Amino acid sequence: MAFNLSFDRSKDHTYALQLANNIKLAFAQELAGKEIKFSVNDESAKPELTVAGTDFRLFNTNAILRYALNDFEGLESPETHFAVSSLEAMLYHPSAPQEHVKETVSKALENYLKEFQEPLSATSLITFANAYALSPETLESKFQKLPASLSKALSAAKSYTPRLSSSFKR
Amino acid sequence: MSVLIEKFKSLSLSTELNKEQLAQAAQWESVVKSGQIQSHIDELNLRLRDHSFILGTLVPTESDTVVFESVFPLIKDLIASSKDVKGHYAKFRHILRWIAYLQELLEIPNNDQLEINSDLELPREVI
Repeated sequence: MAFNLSFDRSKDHTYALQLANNIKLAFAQELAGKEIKFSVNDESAKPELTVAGTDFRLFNTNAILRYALNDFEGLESPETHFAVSSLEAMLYHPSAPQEHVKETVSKALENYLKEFQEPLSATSLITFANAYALSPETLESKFQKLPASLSKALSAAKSYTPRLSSSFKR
Repeated sequence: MSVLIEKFKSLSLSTELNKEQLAQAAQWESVVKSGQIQSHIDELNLRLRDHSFILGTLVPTESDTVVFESVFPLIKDLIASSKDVKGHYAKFRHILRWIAYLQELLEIPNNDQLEINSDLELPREVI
């Protein structure tokens, strides 16, 4: 089966939201099971996974990452709830007060990213991606040495997320 | 756990989900949890155009209930506040069909239900 992956270059999304989405997609690309080989579709600006010859399509990057890793554990866990309802929800609200953002990222580090070691679950990767996109410098100082596969994915995600001049205002 | 989820669980409509359906469940639950259901209403209508229920199952799943809980008040408000009722019926016809089924299944009290006018003549859908 041919899996086509589009990275997030959507003009409707902030830089941070694009970055979170692209980190998850790059993790999916890097850590997917052997049965999945992705082709990158540069035509589309919206994050998406499609499978040629089927009507299967995912537009949500958390779901794409879980699908690639075949890891659906913890969908109802407090960590998933926090990662999506608190961290990710903030990515949709770029005007959220910075103090609130910092506090939420700190909570993620204290409660869920303390033991960020391989093998990593999809839930941990989603928490990491959302927290990183909200505060790259905080996560970079906390995790100075990431597993090689994650560092590679992180670099790829950044290259898929061109920083626009307007995004420097944050 | 919300009252609707409890109600759904009590119906014991369990379905074995495959990997693609689990991914759909993860997708729609993420949309709801991140507060983005409103911006995905068109996407939901499209999904329900091609499938009876969100995960493409033969019976509703908990994901239908989770999404229903968020979408139901939005659609109700949209229909109640709009002058273009027919236009909204046409645009969200598949969501309305799904709501009509779920509000009965989940025993939403009559006075809270969305009153759906099944006699409204809608323009043919262009796919």
